[in-house]
Amino acid sequence: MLNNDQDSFDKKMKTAFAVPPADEVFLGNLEKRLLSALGSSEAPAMHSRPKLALGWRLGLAFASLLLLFVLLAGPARVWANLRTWFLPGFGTANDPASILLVNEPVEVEKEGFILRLNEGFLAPERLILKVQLINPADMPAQMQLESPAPYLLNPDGARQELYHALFGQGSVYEGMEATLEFEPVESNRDQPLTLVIPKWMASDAPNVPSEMRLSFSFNRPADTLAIAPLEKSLPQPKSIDGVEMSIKAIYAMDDQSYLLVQFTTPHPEVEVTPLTITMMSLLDANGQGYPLFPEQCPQCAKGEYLIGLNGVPTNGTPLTLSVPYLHLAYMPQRSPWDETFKPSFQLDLDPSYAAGHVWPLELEENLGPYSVQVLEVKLHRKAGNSFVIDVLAQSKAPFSSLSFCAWEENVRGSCESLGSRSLMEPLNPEEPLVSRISMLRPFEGSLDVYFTGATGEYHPEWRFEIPFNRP
Amino acid sequence: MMEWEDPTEASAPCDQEKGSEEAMFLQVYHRWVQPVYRYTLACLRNQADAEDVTSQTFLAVLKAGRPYLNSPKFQALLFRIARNKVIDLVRSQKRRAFVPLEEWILPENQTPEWTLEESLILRKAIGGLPEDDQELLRLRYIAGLEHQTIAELLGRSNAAVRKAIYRLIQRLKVEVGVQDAQ
Repeated sequence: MLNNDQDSFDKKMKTAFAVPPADEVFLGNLEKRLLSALGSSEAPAMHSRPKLALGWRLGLAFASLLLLFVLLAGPARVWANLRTWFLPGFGTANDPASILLVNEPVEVEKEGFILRLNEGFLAPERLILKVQLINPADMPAQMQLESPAPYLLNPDGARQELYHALFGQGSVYEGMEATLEFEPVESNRDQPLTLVIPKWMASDAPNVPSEMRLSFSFNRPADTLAIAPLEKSLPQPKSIDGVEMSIKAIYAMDDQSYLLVQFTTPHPEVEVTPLTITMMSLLDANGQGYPLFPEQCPQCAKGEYLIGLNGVPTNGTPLTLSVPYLHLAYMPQRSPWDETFKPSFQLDLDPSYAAGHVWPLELEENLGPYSVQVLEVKLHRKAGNSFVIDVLAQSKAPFSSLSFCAWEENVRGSCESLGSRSLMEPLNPEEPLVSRISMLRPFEGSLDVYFTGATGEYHPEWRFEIPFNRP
Repeated sequence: MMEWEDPTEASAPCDQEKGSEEAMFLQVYHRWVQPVYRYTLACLRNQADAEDVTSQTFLAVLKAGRPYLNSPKFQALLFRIARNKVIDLVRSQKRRAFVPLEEWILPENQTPEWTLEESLILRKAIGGLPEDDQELLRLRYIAGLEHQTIAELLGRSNAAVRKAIYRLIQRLKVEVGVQDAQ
């Protein structure tokens, strides 16, 4: 009886508070906004095709793991450990016994399409599968994994959801390739797994089969797959304005060789981009060139690149690695959605402002030696309440382009679209750099302006003499 | 006064894997937007502030993505986001606390369940409760959360939350009941 009284009063309490429901107009607008965000890169984790922001997560996750490793192992031991073992396509491994591989490619055919698992790595903190979808007869040009995302199925029926996916083409392109990453669980080490790809999307091939399943297991790597670095004596690092390049290790396997290089810069958010790698060249004493190509290296640390080398001589002939071009970028891996990302400044847009209106500003974006001075903001063009705004700023070398974007929660802004771009570098270096922001939706009020990127370059003409003494 | 929704009516987020991610998110959104809004409004009083916090909460969930939605503690996580955003806003406005819960008991909004006298007594009784107890009532009777979710949200055990709410209800019932007896 007491319980009944209690239940009765409990129900009565539910009607005691006169808190009104949300307004239908607000709910409608919010739903539209969420749906819009679902269809944009702002909501990467929900989107059916993981894109850039998932890379951010991966980078952050890796940085966290590296930091944890540094803290646990002690900084001096970290490199010694990381350089001990090397697995092509994966990177260096501090404890090779903890790494399992899919030793041989596995494939399954369905309705004329072949799903092939080319490589698989299982480390304590990551499970990576490199798959390929092949239709030899008629490969559509544009293919993509479609929602629902691929997943792993364990023998007990438990599912492991996709954590990250990367698409592209390899050095030998045959079909569509994808690198899928999952968060490993302990049972992955000793149980067979099934990769389930529920759906592919193909622009030109409506008959791509759905629900492709591929069974595989991880095994201990063959001894020949895990090798120690080749060279004991490596060339000295080189630097320019605090940007340093060092060759951390040289590896060789069959007729393939690899360089592990590392770039550091004076600011943690300014990075040397892969464009630098593609501009390098490798020559022997006779002027014979050898192609270089950046390898996938999920295990590489920030600033590290694994470079594959084809057909280099093995007789100890020194080779010269030329680095004519260093491409640097400041790309804060944040967006206005992140609470940690603070706007550079605010801008009030009044309908009465005419083209040519100037907001005088004097502020600095602190990037250490790369700091940027915002000089002025100018209303470039106006149509109704739509605005095109120029941010004029000055930056020291090497930056030659800067990007700002504008944001307001309700109208959103140029940060989520192509409405923000850098103008060409001025011919006269004394002139400021200009970033143009287009606010194409009618707007008045206050905007947050974010500094979202900068790129620049050096031409260092570095040369590294590299010995290649293979065992 | 508002009808209270039974949280057990909706399926848990983990049951919704079969639909697309978008559909899954929208299902969660439709189920929880009103409770989140009502909770934030009850904390903040200002409609615009509550709308802002509700928007930010669901945008944060959207950004966090499917692992979040699949979490067995999703409801607690959702309200933790909302609650943190409410706290941030209260701090930024240099206010000291949430809106006192008794302010939402409006004698003029009588329902068949409550007489004018009962409402006045309940208002006074709730006004005498410490903020922690008011928060329990807010989460239970305005947001409509289950005991387990409140426990996860506040970092307490289910039993402790259940007992605390039971005692609160007993106390309020007695106070209102005493009035009835008179």
